[in-house]
Amino acid sequence: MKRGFPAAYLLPALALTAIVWLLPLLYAVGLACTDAAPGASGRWLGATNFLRALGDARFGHALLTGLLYAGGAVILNVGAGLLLALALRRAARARAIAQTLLLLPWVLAELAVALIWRGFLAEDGGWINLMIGKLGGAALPWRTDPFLAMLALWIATLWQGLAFSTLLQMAGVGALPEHHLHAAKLDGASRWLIFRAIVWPHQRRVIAVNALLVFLFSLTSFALPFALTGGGPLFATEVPALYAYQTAFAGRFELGYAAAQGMILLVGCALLIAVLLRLRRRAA
Amino acid sequence: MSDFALQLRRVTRRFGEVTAVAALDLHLRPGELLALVGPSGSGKSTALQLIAGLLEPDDGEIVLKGRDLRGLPPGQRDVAMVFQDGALYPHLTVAENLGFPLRARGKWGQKAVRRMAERLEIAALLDRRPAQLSGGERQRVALGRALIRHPDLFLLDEPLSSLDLPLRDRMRTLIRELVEETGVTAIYVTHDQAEAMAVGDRLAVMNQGAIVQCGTPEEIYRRPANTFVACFFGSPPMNLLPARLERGTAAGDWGKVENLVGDDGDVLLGFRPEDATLPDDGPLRGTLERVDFFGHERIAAVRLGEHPLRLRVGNAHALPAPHSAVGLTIDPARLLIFDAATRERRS
Repeated sequence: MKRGFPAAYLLPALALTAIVWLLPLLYAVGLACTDAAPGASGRWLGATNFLRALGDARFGHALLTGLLYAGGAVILNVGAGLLLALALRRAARARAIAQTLLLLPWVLAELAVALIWRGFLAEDGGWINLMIGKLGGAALPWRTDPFLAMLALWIATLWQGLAFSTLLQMAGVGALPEHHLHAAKLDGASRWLIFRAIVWPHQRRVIAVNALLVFLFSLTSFALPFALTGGGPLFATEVPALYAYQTAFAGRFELGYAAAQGMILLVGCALLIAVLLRLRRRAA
Repeated sequence: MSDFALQLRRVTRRFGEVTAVAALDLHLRPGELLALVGPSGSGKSTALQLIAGLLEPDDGEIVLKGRDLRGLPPGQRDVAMVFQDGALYPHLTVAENLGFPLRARGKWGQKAVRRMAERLEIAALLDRRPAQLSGGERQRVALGRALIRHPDLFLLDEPLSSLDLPLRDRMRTLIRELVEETGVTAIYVTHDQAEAMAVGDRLAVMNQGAIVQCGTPEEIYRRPANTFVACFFGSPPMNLLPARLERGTAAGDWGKVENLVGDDGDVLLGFRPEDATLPDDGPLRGTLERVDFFGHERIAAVRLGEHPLRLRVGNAHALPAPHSAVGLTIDPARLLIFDAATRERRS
């Protein structure tokens, strides 16, 4: 009786979780095994959709594009967040101002961020190209050059996510051992040596968590690439979520196949998390 | 060139409204070990950080071996420091910690590390990490890391306060030996008056951001400049009795002492616990309240009128039962006279 009592308290929360999280997930798994279309529940196909995805070059390309986008976003966001956190370490007032400013884009919807940067990066009359023109440079083809389109995604992601990474890094940087920094300074260590010998080992775990979160968030991102680049030019920024959207809703209406793509991405992310957790446990 | 290795002239540092260090003057001879001592919040750690360059002074100058240190970053001052917790880099081995100052200067002195480790008797620990060391071993590594590059100045900020008592004695001896062997000029910051007297060639006593008195341990103990120094040093501290001094006689509600030299006025009479005895026929009459036994000595709590006193009593001396009357004699040669208003020593 006594042992069953706490479980009774948990029951409402567990039930809610099952309804809003587990049921949709199971439904998606089921969907991935059919050839369902809007309005038609479809036939049971078993693993056919999954096998099809493994042989689909466009899906492979979308995965690689997603990895490139997420990898770049991790380097930019975590790097900039760490640098900013270090720069603001000793300046309490500047830190308060920076936190407020950085948080503004964070609370914006991804779609709004995409539209803002679409305006800034417009090839004709966009704010960025106007600045480049003022400085004597040629207008950059943000929407037609594959690399520039990816760069546009990275910039918008950094702008929106910098607050998150900076706040996370600040929590670690705030606990940097002051005596160690003092001792290293007196020992004549360069900034680079101080970073390698003290900051990096101390901050390693925060960096790992930060990198993982930014990576997962970017890899599964939909609204930002959808509204900023639409996957173009020529599939150069077509990330997995965009391809799944195209499969499900843009003319083809293959709901089952799109769900299978989503499942593969989900399993990949879960495996990544499992590996990282295993590595962390071994390091500890 | 002056004869001093380190000179601080009117060094001042403020934090907002608070003046942490006020017009500090300090002079160290080469090879000298100076104990900078004071209660917590007296500014001694701030003074050390100013010398090290971890803080910049608002005013004044700091000269080390003829070099003006103002504006120089900590790494270029040739000053080494040992911190209270050792501040060993937790991710580096003992050998890497010892060699860090050399590595920072682009050298990698395996031999120097080995030699230093052997001198400090930690050669067997070179591959360990700080978390695997005892407190004493950690401080040995910290000492070695500071001295391996032969600094011009060696700063120690409460280096023993995280160690337990028996270990402190041994480490204090080790620090003295190292300073003598290397000939380095050193400042040792501590809030522990007994440790300061045991470790320092000279003492500089700080209170409220200023140096109150400088001198040998003997001078500080025997001739304190004011009642603050008098009561800060010694355990138990100096006894103080308020009195009115008139024509060589100091009298108070507790009795009187005659044949003193000094101008008339309100004074405080100071004497160390060992500078009074408790003979049955003593000229002063008090009450013995309690006797604490410490093995090599006893400390008697005596009430003289309204004034509680502490006296050091040998084990051989017979004492009456607690709460009975005792006689008391103060050694007039050891009696110090402080001005009641300024609290400075008059004689």
